[in-house]
Amino acid sequence: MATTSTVKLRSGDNEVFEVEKQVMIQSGTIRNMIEDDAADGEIPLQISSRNLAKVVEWCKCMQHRDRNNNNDNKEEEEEEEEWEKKFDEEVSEDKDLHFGLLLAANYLEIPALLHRLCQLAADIVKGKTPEEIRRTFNIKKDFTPEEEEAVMDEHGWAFHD
Amino acid sequence: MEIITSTFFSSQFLIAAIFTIFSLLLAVRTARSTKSTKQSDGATSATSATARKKSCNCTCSCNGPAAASAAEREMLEVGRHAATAAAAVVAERGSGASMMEQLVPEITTHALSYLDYPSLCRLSMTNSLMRKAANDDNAWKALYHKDFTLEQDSVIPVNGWKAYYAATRAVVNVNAEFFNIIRERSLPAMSRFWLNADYVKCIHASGELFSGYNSVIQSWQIAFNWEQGVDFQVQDVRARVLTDIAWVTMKTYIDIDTGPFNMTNVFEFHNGRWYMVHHHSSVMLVDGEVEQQVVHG
Repeated sequence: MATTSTVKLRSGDNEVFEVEKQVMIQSGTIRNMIEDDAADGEIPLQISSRNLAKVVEWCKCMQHRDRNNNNDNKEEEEEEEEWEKKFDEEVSEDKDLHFGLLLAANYLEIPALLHRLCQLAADIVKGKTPEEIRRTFNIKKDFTPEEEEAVMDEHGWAFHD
Repeated sequence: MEIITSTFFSSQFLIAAIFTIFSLLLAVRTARSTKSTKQSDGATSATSATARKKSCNCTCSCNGPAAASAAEREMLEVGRHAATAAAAVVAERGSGASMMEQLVPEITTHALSYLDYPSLCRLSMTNSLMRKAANDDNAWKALYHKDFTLEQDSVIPVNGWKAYYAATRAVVNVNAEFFNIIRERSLPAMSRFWLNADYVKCIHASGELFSGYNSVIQSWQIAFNWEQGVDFQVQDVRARVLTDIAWVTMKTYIDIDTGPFNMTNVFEFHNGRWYMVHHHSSVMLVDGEVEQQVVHG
């Protein structure tokens, strides 16, 4: 059995984060390692320290929230909501962070974080024209005139209402 | 490109893997010939043999949204080694790959499932890579189940789920138009709504059957003359759509005194639009009792 109550995560740029196991078992990948007794040394991850720090911060907040779910502490509840709101804003405004976290959440298998990030990505896309989406995500249009016409025909049905 | 870490490189490789083995091999060949100029780190270039094996892994995991675990870790690992190949692919396409395009297919598929249909369509109108991603059959099937019904799970639409979604959306809209016409009591609109054929039939909630176009339209004329516009609340709309025929079942409610009704509408597709060919309305059995109804619906 593992003897310590923390895990050490090493980021791609060699920064080590020591985090409580209780916090990191939200990650399926890390949970499996802990269960297999493979988490005693440092766990090397291909995630930058900036993104990893954010993931750890998120996991801590969620774990804190789950633990306090039974208490009716209004103040803490508001604090957590505030934190989540800030997280949403920060992620929505910083695409490097957003996409880095998406990859990290998928890699670490943290369904709740993946869900949140996908929802934020969807919110950004919603209501935008194709041109606005291109600008937002730096997508280059590469259609030939024929393809462009085909694409317009293909989607006429969606915008008739 | 300046923000790209090795993780990003690997995902570029993976997204590139969506394109068939053919294009992958082509890409690897390009990568080999250009690697000295594009290479940014010391990673070794993938041989075509390992690339074949890897692309196999990738395509397999495309099926499940964000579900891959061990296989995916392996992919990330594998992808890292092929990073230079991927970088070359991107450079060769000359698209300056957006971050959207750098996501692994699992995430893309998963993220797509959070979009509504207009957003999914607009996304697929942005460029050819997004078009491929946003036309994903599973995404559209999921959207169909979410927006319309969990039924028809065993259905395999001939032209894929996106086309089936579009066709169902069209029929559901036409069906909604039927109730607008009743609300507005517009005889000209109702006349255009029905197919002008001798076999069309309309069975009103009163139990009367009208057969043939003229007779059916006449029945609506009488209904519109006698009654005020009826504002139906329509629920449980279920549409089944085949190439040129569609039928829709639904429950309709007016108020506590009238109805509710079970309704079936049948449409045929002619000259680029759907026409009503059959309407059947009957009083719903509620608490084992059917009250006398005189409303046309």
